[in-house]
Amino acid sequence: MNTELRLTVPVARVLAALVADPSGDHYGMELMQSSGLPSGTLYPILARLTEAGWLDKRWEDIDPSEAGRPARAYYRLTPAALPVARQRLAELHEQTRPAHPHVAAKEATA
Amino acid sequence: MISRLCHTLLARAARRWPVDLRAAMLAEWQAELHVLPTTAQRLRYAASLATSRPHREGAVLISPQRAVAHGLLWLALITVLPTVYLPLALNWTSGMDPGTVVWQTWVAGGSVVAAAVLGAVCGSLTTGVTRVIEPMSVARWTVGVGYVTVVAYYLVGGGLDGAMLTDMTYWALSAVALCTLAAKVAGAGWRLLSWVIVVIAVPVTFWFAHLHSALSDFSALGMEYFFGGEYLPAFLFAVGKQELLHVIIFLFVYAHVLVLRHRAAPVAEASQEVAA
Repeated sequence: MNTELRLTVPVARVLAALVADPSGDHYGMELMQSSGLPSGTLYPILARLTEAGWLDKRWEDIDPSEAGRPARAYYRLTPAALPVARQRLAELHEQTRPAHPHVAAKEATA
Repeated sequence: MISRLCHTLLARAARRWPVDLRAAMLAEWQAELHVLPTTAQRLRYAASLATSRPHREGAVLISPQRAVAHGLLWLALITVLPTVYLPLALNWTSGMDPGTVVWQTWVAGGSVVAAAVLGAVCGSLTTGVTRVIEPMSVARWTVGVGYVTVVAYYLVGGGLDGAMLTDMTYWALSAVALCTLAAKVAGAGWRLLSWVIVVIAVPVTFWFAHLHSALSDFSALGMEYFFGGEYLPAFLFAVGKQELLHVIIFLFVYAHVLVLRHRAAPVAEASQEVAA
């Protein structure tokens, strides 16, 4: 798995949606809704994450003629990617967290 | 009707993806499109995919013969088109009076647009050039050949003197610097910024090309009788009708489209080349 993935805001949104339910099967439309990204942004991210080994992609096991619709593709974080994704999101959260007022005041007077 | 449009948009989007992923992505998108409840959602879904770029460009195999043919066509276009256009344009740019200035303004504006469109079309027709010339060197070669062509044209016409040669040399050097910068910026993924640099390069290099010409002494052009004596429209007209400006726009757009349309060779082919 390639851990050197660049964590942009859209990528972080997708990862956050996947980490929220790591054992669930996620499909494109659901990820669009949970990440707030349009299809044109989401699918390149999913493809990049899949190629980097962060995601497993599998096809829904249905008979399209019986179901009356084509089979969907499902995405899930790989077991190796889940702790890395959690750590990277936590780091991002830490970096973007507003400084505590006391800390900010101390830094300002230092 | 809408359904057909959506499927057309998805098919168009899929064509931009790498060949190895194309079929799977299209099947996935069609499955999602199928379950979207409203027409607006379906259209938005398909349009977003059709107007976005994939995470990586698909590798493209261009035969060596085709690449050489594209290279020769590129050479012919950047030498023949300016050589034919420069004398032809003199028919409508050389003289003017209050009766002709209106249609000359339209023709000047149209020529600027036509030069850009022609450059884009030529770039998309000769994409194999970047297999013969490195993408980062395309600007250097395009401007270099354009420089030799224009200088040769003025030399044969008897209009080349030391001042013009100096101006054209400054033009070529500034053009190479700015267009190569645009290519590097595009290579870093900033396509829009790269186009901004190309757009800026046009007036900057055009200014270098006219350091010793009448355009640098605008009051000597006799434009005070036109456009109600207003400076800006008269100056824009005087610049816009310059045939060299149209040639510059054509060359810059052509070179930059070639850079942007460059696609990597397939891995197998690349490794064979390395092994060879």
